[in-house]
Amino acid sequence: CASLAPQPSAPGEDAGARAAWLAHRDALSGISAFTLDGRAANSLGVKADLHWQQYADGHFEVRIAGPLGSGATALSGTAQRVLIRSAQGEELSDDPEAWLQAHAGWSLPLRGLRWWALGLPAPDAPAQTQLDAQGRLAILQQQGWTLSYNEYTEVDGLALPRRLEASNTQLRVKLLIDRWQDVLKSAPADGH
Amino acid sequence: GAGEDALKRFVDGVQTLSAAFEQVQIDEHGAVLSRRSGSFELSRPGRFRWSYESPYQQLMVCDGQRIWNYEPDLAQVTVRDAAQVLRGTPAALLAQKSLLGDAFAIESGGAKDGVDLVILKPRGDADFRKIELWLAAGVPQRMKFYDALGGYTDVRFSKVKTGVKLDAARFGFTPPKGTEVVDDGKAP
Repeated sequence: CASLAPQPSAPGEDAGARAAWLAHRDALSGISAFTLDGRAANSLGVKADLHWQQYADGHFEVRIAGPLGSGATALSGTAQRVLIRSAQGEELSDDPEAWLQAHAGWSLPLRGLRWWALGLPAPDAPAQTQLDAQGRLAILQQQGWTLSYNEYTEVDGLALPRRLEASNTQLRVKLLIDRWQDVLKSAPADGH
Repeated sequence: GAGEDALKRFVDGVQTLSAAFEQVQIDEHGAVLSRRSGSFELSRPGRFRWSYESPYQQLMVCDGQRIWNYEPDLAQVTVRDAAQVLRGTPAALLAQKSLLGDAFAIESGGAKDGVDLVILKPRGDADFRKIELWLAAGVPQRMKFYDALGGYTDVRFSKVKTGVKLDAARFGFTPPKGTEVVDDGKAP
């Protein structure tokens, strides 16, 4: 069904939610490192366990595997350059999402997920957002994907997503985050 | 070889089985990725139920023709032809009717204190590097799945009972209301 294209700030969205969002967004933007363990399932019925380690220097290590580690694939690097290790050996790729689609038959919006998993739009790319009553993302449209945030959980006083769904014209992926760990906020700049 | 004989004794000797299991998943650096536990039931030919109970529920049920993979937390169940995914999971492996010779090269890892180690090496490209299966008098004790990255998943069985009466309904599945059913259409 054609989803309603949400306005940048839906009419009647109360100022309270918008103000809460600005504060929440700043708190989220300060997160420089985290580890998440979750499960992904897409509309083709493909399921995978996801282990994502994001480091303060911007690089990440992501492990994607089926039941019991079948078809385990490790991607490590930065958004631009990723080393992919799998049963096929090792390979450098600047388009890991396309590699996954070609080799695993499905894919994940890896580039965006680094931000979207936190409940944050990716920086310096246009985004349309719709907020929930507590000023957190309910719907985000960015880079061709629509993210709907269905459940949040509290981690160190911060609301982080537990259940979200990412969809584009071809694919829908449900993501359930079972565990957040080592969520590190970068120290505020000295001047503060 | 000894490995094949031990496996054969299990495949031919054990018609039904029920057990509890503990599972730990270790990555290639030795870090623990996950710890899980649940129960397993088998009724030859080809029927099994593999149920993860903690830390969250996941259920795999096979009636010999179709495998249901139910994920309550994601409200989704996939239905697949049993023959298609038979080799990839412990339950499916243990429920095999025939020896696994076509899918695996079977080697013997020797025996110690009455426990036979059978090593299964997948033929052709596969999801796992190898699978180890420990059998005591033809009854499974432990299974280890070595993944492509150098990590492994270690499954240890306990409270193993064979020759138990298992109701056929245990091996069917009816998706609860509101569950997204993903059927790849090949299931009979």
